[in-house]
Amino acid sequence: MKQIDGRYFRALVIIAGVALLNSGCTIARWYSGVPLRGDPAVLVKGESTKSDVLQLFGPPTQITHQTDGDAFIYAYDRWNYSSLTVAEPITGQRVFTYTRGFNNRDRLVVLFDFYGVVRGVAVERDTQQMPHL
Amino acid sequence: MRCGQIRPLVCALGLVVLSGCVMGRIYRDHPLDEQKIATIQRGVTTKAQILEQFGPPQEIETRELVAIGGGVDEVLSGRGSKPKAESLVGARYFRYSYSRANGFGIVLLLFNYLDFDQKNDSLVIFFDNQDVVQDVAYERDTDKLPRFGFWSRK
Repeated sequence: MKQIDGRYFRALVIIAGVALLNSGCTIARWYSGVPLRGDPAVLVKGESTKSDVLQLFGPPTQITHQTDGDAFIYAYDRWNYSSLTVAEPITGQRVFTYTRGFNNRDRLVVLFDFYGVVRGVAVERDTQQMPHL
Repeated sequence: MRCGQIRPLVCALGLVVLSGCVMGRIYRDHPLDEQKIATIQRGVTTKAQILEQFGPPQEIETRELVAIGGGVDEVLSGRGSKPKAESLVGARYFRYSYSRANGFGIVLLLFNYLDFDQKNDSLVIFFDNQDVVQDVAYERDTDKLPRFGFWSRK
């Protein structure tokens, strides 16, 4: 009985080993842009100007227009991806794949009136909440 | 050293030998001349001078909001030569940019790690109604690109 158990165990180890050799783990990181530079809390609605914003945060990623003024958008994009693949050892056919991806962004939107004075600020920092794996 | 003890070492060595490394670089447009950028003066430098110094921008924004002055009757009946028109400039700007991306990857038998980072140098110049520089913003971010992925990230 002990012999049979030993054989089974050996066979299991070999199968697991071969399966492991045909499996793979991938971790990928993608970054676009740079984290937000200044502190949006220093912007004062009705007081801070377009020049102040440009000085603090640099050139915006995107400039859009609304019916009552312009809007500057600053963005920092990150993408964390991980996957685990187990393939069938002889044919190479994938028998199991697990993937997980997170695409988070830090965004700052500053709204201006027609005179270039800040009338709204919105900020969200989602990249700090990304899981590592 | 017995044969059984050598095998794991051979396997470990094999894993290292059979691995690979991938590196990639992408460059788009050309670097911005910081000496020229330093010469831009708010309220002095004109659009023509900017074009002369920096060439054609990657992005141009020339949206104008036109407001018709005078009464509605005047406009509808077509009286008078032309209705008063007031043009209000929403934002007029040029954007010059230089983009770079560094890719780095380690390909092992059981594990792959890939890292891709894209950053830009960006110069945005706003003009007033007289085509004179109103505001300017420049940021050099391509310096912050890591050379070898995760390991060289600051």
